[in-house]
Amino acid sequence: MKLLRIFVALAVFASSVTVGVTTQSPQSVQAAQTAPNTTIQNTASATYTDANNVTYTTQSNTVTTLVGNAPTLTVTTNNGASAGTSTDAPGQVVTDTYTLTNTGNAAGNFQLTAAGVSGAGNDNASTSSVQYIYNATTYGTLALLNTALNSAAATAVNGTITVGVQYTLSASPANVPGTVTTALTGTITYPTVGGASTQTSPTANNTYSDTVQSDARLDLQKTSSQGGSAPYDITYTIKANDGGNFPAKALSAALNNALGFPNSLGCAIIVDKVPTYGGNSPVINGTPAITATAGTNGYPASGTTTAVYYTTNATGSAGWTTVKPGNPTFVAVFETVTSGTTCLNTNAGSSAGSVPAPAITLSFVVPQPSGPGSGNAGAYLNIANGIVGDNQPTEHILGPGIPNTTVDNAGGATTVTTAGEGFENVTATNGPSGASQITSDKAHQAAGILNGPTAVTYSLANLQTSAGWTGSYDGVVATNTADDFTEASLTPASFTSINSGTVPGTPNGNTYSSTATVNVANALYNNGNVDDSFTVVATAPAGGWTVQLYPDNAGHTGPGAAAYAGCTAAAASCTTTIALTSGQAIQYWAVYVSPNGQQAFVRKDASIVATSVADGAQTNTTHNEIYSGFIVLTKSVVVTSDGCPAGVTPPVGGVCPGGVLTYSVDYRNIAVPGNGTEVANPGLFLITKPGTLIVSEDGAAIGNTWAANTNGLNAPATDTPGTGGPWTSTFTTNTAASTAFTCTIGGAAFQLQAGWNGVVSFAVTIK
Amino acid sequence: MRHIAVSFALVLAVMSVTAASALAKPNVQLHLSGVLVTHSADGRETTTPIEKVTPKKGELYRYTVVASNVGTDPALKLVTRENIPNGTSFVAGSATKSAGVAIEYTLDGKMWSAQPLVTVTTPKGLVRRPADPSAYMAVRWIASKVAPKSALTFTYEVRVK
Repeated sequence: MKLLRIFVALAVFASSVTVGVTTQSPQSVQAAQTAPNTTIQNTASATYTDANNVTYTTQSNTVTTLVGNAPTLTVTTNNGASAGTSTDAPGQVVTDTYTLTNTGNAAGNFQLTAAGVSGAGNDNASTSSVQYIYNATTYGTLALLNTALNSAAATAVNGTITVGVQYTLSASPANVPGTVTTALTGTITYPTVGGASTQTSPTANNTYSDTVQSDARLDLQKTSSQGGSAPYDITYTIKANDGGNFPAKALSAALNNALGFPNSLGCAIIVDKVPTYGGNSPVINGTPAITATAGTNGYPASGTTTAVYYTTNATGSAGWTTVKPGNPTFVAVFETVTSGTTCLNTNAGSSAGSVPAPAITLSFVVPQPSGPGSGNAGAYLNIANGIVGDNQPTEHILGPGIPNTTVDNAGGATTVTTAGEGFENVTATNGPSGASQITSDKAHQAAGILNGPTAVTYSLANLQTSAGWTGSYDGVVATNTADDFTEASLTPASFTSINSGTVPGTPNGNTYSSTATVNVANALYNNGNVDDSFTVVATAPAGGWTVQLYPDNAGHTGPGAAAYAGCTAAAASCTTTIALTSGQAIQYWAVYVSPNGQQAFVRKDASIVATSVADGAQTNTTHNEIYSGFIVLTKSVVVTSDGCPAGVTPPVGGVCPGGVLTYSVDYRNIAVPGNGTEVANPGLFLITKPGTLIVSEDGAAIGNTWAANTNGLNAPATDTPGTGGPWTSTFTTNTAASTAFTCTIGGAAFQLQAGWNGVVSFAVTIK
Repeated sequence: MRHIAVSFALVLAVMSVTAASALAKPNVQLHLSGVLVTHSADGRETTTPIEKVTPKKGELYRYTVVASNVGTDPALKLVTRENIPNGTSFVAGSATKSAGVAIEYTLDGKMWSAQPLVTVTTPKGLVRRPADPSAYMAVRWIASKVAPKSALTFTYEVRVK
């Protein structure tokens, strides 16, 4: 009888055998099975002795049996006998590999009785995409696969084949995370061998439970901080992390090159659209800082480098360079991958707008914006973005706000520059796709207000300028924007102002017999950097005057139809609130009504104070100087020669026939002259219209008798310009013996400005 | 079956000749039989004569050797040996034990021991340890005496590989 085993005896000890010398731990070796049609024979033998110590030998009958086919198989997965598992990304082509092992005692052929995608979560996969892979060949149906298996060479005992059940996951799975299950059931059949008839094994099966997880996801969090003192620089910090379930893959060199980045494998992890104000990009102070620690928070342990890139391209789609330009439109962190294909490993815990443990951080500093509105919220809108690759068979790019964008493998096509997506996303108020990668900042708030005269010619620029003019409303107080002023004059209708005073410049006017109204235009200008509201308080002159404030009318020629709230009723003072955007200037109107009995030739001061609501320290006052008549005539006479005979004394101030009287008519504009910047704007002050100041003298008119008592003018009357002169006046009928004449002061184009004066004189001889 | 029948006839003939010529001597005759042993779910054992089955992998077979001393003198130092059949492996602990009978096993047909040892080279050096019973190639029972007209029965089990 032959030996069952052959052992290699390297050393023999008593009752022991040394087996296979190896430096490895003893391993169980699956025993070879007895082949079908093998005859198993068994015979017992014995020896014994008798009393004489004679040895006898005996042997039993032989028991014989024939070994039959005993087909069995196992179906194992990547977890051995247990169900297999995999974690896959949307859109991924998944292949679950099953290993079928012939565990019986003869060679045979496998057959699959069932295989495919089954179980919960099938909506994540396209069942029509199922196919089978065997021996590097893909089969569309189970029948075709079985045909191939049947015609294949028999698999030896302990031999294996692998069958891949392949399917394609939906690019937009309904359930993430979700599950897709595949299953495979098989048999193996042994052919007839001698006395061993053909046999088919019982079925064996196994499954895979594939978990569908979201792909790589680039999460960004952008924050900003502003210095608490000048120059109020703003520091932007952008944190990036792969918060998905798969590594963020590097984009191909071709694609990066097409985007203007280096022609190398890598990712534009952070692409930040530098904030602009007024359409202008600021400078970036110093050098932006990149923080990335190898092996930490998903940043690869090795094989990557990062660098700051800039571009002045409007969409960030080209022109990237490591040399910082003066006013970059974009700043980016480009990660070059020199080993492997991973830009970022997954690092759970982040989401769009929340990256507590970033893989990469970029920070850079820009000056605060300046100019009108720069203090408003959102003056600086800063958008951050970035792109990485996903785990699809075809190259895709991923980024906040970028749909799974397929690009061709040659890198020649990309949609990242499509309006509203990718780098050039300029959404005004929201970051793309809800990711909080947009940050609003503003300049340090600096409210401001200018309240002053209005310009002669209406325009925004003129209003902004005139509101800031300086002046001294009475010529005594300091010259500044809070004492600037506008002069206006009012007189009741059909009222003749009469000066009974005799001292030029010190008029004594008659009194109004009714009220009078005057509208004064003023300018209000928000010269702060923030939209604001202003409390405007108008105060009428004392003594029964009233005031109301009105918005401008459409033609900017007078008050609008309705007064401002708070000023709808005439009162000694009123308060209203006017909202102005930063940089806005308006013209508004103060309507003053004088009381009955107001004396002529009096200047009244009325102030209007505007105060910022945002910053109460910001206030500005303007004054409206209202005159009840501003051209004053003061007539006086001087006895040049009394004409009395010798020894005759004329009455006091009187004359004798032959006496000569010289009359003087002082004409003057009693308005306060301008000063400060208002000097250059004479239109602000009370001034006569060209050629309208005419001094008339008629010796026969009511109140005059010199025509009858004299021989008329001794000589043509004269005009002697005073302050503001010289000017040349024109006369009519101004000849000797004339009993009347007119004098157009300064001529047809002349305007008598505030503070100017002159004297018209003529002499007559008493008959 | 015809082959087995012929063998059995030959054994009977030999036994008759021996009995006639050795009446004053011990005369030990061996008879070997085998059964397929199966167990139901509740543990009940069923046996089927080996001649009626086709062995399959994993099946358990029990062989029984009956050593009968049909002589007139005692048989001394009876050593009954059974080789483990090719295609099967010995089932540990299955050899029957009885008083006064020693059981020994061999791995190579030369060295016998109640518990054969093997020396295995491991990373820690040579280690001696009991051999796997499935590696036994034979089993033997050693009885000091078998009285005339008496018999000893030995059984062991193997599993089809």
